Amino acid sequence: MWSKKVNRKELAEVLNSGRITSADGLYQSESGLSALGGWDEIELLWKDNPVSDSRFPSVIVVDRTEQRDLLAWLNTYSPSTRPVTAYSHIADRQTASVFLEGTSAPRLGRFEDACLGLIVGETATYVGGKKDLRSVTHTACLSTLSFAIARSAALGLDAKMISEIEDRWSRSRVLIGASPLPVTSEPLQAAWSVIRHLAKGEFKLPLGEPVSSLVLEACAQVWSHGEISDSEWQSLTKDLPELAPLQDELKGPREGRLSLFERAVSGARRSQVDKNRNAEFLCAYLASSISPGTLDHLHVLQPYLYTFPNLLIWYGLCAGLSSRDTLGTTLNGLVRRVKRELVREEHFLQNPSCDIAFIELEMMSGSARDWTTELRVATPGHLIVELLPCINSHYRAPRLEGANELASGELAPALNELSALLDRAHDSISKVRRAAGIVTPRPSEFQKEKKRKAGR
Amino acid sequence: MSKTWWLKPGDLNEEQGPIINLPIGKSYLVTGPPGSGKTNLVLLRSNYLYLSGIQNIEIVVFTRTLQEFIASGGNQYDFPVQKIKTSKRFYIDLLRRYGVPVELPNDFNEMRTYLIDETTKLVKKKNLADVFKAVLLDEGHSFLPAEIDLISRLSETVFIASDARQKIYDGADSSENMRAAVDQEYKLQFHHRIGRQICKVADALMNDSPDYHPMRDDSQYDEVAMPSRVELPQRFPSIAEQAAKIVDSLKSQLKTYPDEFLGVLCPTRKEVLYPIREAILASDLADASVCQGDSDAVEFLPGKKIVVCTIHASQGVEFRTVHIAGAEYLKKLHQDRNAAFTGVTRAKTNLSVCHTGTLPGYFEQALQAAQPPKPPAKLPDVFGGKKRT
Repeated sequence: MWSKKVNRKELAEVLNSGRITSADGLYQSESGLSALGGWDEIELLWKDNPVSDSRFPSVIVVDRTEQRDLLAWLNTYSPSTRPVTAYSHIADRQTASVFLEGTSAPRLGRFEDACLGLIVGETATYVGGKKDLRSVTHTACLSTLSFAIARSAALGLDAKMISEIEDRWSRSRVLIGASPLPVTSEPLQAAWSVIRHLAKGEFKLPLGEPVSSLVLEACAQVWSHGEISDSEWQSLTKDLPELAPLQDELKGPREGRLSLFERAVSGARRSQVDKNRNAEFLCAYLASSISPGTLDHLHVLQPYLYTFPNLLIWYGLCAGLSSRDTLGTTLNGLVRRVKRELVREEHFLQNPSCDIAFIELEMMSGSARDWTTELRVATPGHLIVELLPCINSHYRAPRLEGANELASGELAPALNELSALLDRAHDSISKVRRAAGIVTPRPSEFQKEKKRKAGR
Repeated sequence: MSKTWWLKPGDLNEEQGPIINLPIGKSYLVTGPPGSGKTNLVLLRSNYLYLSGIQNIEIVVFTRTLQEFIASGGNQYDFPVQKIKTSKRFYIDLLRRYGVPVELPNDFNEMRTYLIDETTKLVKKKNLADVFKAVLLDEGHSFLPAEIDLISRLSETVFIASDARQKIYDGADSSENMRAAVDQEYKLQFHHRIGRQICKVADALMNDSPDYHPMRDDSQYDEVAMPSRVELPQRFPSIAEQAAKIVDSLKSQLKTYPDEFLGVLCPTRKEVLYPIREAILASDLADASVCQGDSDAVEFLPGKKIVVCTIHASQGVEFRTVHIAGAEYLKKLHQDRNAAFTGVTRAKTNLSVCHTGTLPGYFEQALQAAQPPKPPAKLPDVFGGKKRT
């Protein structure tokens, strides 16, 4: 790693020219960071020698309290690199140390499939009712809170940093004007609480946890045995007594399991236990038991999302917990694509891959200028926000649909060309019709009248 | 996700693995029970030969449905699916290549004889031999002895997959000719496709043959992951009511097995296939269904998971669930016991049988094999009044 201490003016020069002009003060270090003295002291980090290989600094280390002010200053004095966080990570000394020390490849170990199930479950919850759940895209999965949390966990971040991620994820949605979500964050927190407790081997819940002991215990059994025990089944079906004697149907043919799920969900609706979390969990568990360890039955839950909006979150979790390396093969490779992004190796000393970092988004959206016109995004209408270094979230941002004028500029000639081709095809069809003696349907009197009126 | 086609070496078991890359330049016969992976081996062997530079190569099958089915899996490999042909297309292409005019008779058996005769004449006249580097035959038992001899002369090597118990088309048994045409025979013992409950029915159907080896003994099907089931045969007053029941079951099965093909198999066209097809196309399953028309072909399309066809057209194909409709019409078929065996063994996990008339005794008895044993009837029940429908 290469390091150099600079002041704001020097930093603006580096950013404006895209290189350092002097090697004075540049030194190579294993991983240690310098102590930063005052408000104008900034440390720049590069992976390789920036003199021989001209590059933007990968990281700009600056005190947390000075970050917003520095970004405002850079936006003014280095306008050509706006937003600067598209080129360099901004981090305080403590955060930078955490990322510099975490050198191992991102991994989630035994909980990888549970996290992946939850990511797909959350995605399906957001798109549910709008379209075929089986056509969910992997970009949609990368926009979920679960993806951001799972990525943070894979990078080995602590609870405090993960909590910061959750906060930044929600605030980013507000800042970019994303449409409201169909569910609250409560069920997601409950599902993540399950994974957190299982990972720690804790099965006794302190007060105030968003998940019930019954659900936590059931999830622990699904995770360790692939199914829930007789006594757990009896407890979960307390509000739906007609299901109590039917647990054995889960060992029978899959059509019988589907029928059991449909009876459970109808029973829960009839007996108005739909507000009961345990009943909602039970229904999701039953759906995941049709084909354990897969996400093949998302569509089966779709008709019930109005009554049970969190079904898919619990379904995804149960599918992931019961997976024995089977989840990756489902949904035509979607899960594998999400996994690729989840455990993607991205070193802190590499330049970012986002459009903007949260802290700069927050700063820009607070200014009087229309920040949306200044952003260059990879895909119109989509914004990749870095919540913390190496943790990106994809947002659909309708306000940014016109942000990439180049793309629409390139589109117009293509559309013209396509239109001309269609006209030529139309002419050819008419010629073939005439040659073959096929009569072209004449417009009806009504259509003629309409044309006359339009022509007037 | 459907597990029909093997995509990685781990999908193969110990006896299947070595067959794919057997030495090039020799001929092989692979025999084995339904579900032992013969069709997959044909496809992978052809892909192996193709990638090894053997490109003058063809896969020849007997029915269009099987050709379409293999082509649906062949898209995942390098081997061009255009090289998968029916025997009819194979002969016609060959005759035209050598300038022989082709005028096909309408009758199926006459057309078959005509094509074999014309090709044989051509081979003799031109003294043709080794026109192809390799020809791979699937469902070799469907080919006539003369065809096996003809094809093995036309190709430097042959690779044949066969199971004599599935022979349902007219004509002499070609087993000896197949053995004579190859250098080595491989017998597959294990199968992994067909659930144990369905194996019980298949085994009971074949218990008239002393040489038959029960499928249940060699099943590697994962019964825990996907328990199999054979429903008791259901009798309905009419074919329309059979169709209504089948449509009802299919709705639930489509949800249960979203990525799998579901089969509705009919012994005959006029009495069974046509009314069943009409009912399914009139239901809200029409968009998810593909039905055999007047030809012998059914196309396998990604969005069309319900396949309605004759038992004959289904040869070599597999379905997660099979409904055999109008089962009493099995009696009308030539080699009907083999046809019943073929129909039953198309099912992987679920089999149901509907009928209106009386089932053949051997079939009714075989379907009982998957049910719990019945205690002897009580004497008072033997007298008067119907105890079952």
